[in-house]
Amino acid sequence: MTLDLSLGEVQALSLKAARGAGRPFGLAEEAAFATRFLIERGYDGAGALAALLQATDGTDARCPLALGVALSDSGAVLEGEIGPVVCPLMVAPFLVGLCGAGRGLSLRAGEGVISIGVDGAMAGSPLPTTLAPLIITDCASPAAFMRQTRAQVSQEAFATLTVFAARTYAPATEESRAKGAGAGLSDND
Amino acid sequence: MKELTHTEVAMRDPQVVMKLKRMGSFHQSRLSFMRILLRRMKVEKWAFSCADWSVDARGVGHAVYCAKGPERTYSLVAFAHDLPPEARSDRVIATAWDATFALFDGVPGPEDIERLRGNVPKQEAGRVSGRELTLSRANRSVRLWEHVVERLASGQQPDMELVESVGYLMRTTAVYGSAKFGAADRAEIAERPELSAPFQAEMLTVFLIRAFVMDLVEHMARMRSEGAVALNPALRRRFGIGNSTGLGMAPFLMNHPRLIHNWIAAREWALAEVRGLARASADEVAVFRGYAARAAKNAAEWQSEHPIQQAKLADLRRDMAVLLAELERFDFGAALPWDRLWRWSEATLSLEGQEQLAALLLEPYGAIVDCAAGCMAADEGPVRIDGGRDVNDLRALIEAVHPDALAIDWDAPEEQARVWYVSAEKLEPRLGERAEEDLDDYAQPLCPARDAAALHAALEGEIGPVAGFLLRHPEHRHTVRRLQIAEAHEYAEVRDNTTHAEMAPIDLLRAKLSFFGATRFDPRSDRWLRITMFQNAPFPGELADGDPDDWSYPAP
Repeated sequence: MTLDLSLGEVQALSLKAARGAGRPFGLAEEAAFATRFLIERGYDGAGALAALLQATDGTDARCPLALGVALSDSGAVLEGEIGPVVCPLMVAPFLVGLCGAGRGLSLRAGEGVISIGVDGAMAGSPLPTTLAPLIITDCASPAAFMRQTRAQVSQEAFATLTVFAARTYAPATEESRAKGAGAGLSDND
Repeated sequence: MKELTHTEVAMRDPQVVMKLKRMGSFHQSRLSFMRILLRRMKVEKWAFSCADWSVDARGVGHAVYCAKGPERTYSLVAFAHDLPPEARSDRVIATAWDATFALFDGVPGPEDIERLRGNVPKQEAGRVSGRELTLSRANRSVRLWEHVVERLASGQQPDMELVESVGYLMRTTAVYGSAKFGAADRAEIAERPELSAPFQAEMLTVFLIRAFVMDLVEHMARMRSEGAVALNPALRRRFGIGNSTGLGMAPFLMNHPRLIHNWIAAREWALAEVRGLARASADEVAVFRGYAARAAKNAAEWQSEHPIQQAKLADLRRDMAVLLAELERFDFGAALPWDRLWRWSEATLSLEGQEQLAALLLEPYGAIVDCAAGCMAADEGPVRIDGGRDVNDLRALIEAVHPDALAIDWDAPEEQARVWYVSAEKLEPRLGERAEEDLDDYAQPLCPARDAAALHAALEGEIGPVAGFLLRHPEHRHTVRRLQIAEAHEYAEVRDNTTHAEMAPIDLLRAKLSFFGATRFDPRSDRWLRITMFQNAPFPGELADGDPDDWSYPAP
């Protein structure tokens, strides 16, 4: 059973979930962008994020987001085997900015391999959602892709992300009810 | 020959413009989203129709209003409800409303109406789909509603003074767009010319809601009495749509830096263009004088019970009197008349008056400034951090963007007295008192000035590329990204402390709502307010023969 969500909803939920799982806000934003990026390209971004947040709950060790932003920030591709990280698929969105003009990068982990192009095109077979080392190499840029406009999210992933997201909400108190939104004058006129 | 008629006048400094007190004094202008929408629909000769009216004698049922443009049709699907008074609340915690709405992409079929009937009346508790662009609801002004129905039913027109004192029969309490509750993503409509400017789907929704509400009140009068009359067309126009807006809107300004930059930059560019005009024609001066007099009338009619706004209104009324007096003796014949008038205002008027003048100066110059409407949308996709930059650049950037923040003692209780957070109860933004509630764990990063100061302190002794710093300090990632955005978008950041004990969130709300084109800001506390939208505007059927801009100030 899947839920039909707007991409904006998934992005907002992913931001809160990553934040709820303890990621700093700036990294949670990257998680949300990456999740949406994957979904737009037909990959199960929400499932990948849910799996990685569960596997790394309470720690960001082996986190593909941390690896992804480090690669993106440094602007350099590391040679040889790197990681391992959980859900290496989540590294893929961060490689777009590292692709040379007209060239792509391939990301190999376990039995799967994904290729990414400078224009954001993405193709390839599924990567493991468990802990796996990965190898990034040059490749030809994949062909243009058909952008998905809605997110089909499994109920399981949705529930997981919702539970993480809920950690960011402050419990309501009498005080917050009374003052937090500034109620005062009557609404009925 | 442009160089002979135009002098380069610099756009205003963001350190001046992006202060909360000034943002809380912004006024609607030619570049407001309601006016952008009406101008386009007028030029493109949009056709409007009520395609379905299925409302019973109790005022319960649905209606469909279609707006047909050159390429596409959009339909407001309106549901009217019979709401007991005790259930009527403008707050986001409400669960029932007098009317609920969705803007449908196309013309809905019966199955669409039924799907929407099962969801739209529930608002946040329901779901809409990619076929819907907005979801919204409205409550009656009980006092005015009953008065208007009663008068019309008895064959009379409503009391003008009462109409003026309220200004609307219904007020919306939320107009959700852009992917909310399952609605279409902004990306799906951003390329359509008619929806590419910001908030056009939301403004179209409210424009059509206004038509529905007026039809509904006349319907209710007819249901009450066979002798009922319709509203006099001139009086009908005096009704706008009210809107209650709370804290939920405030974080938007901090969460959309590129978009906010584009709004402000468009208006600041327009102001600088007008100030740079070497001469003003007699016609242009006459247009300006006419609007200035009408703005003075607007200031006189604008009511608020809130002390903050009352003081601002006193300033504005005095400013308008001083401005009108100055215009009597002002030498429009000498060079750079508008720039001279502007400089005079900076030395003479309060923030309310200065910002009113900034809006008024654009009125005679639609041919020059209206094109800026095409620059107000923003691509808000991911921004890759340039990790190769040196931390010294980052330090210099903070010093340039947030100099005031570096002078603040952030340990002083009043400087961080407030905490922005999201409550579990309604998942809406709230503002708490740091000293009184234990909220730090839930704090949202909605104080860019403080975060920049903290980053500046963390950079003490750091050398090398930003990438290395972020590897060790991922907690500053959000702030680094904001700063790199602000470097290329100078109006992106509020240059003020948004956690200060005396910060008034209504300043943020007004800044945003002024760009919508709202008027008559009426704060009900320091964190929510009421406004009026489309008051005096032509109704859909009148737009073909009406002026899409002239309505924005009261008639002379």
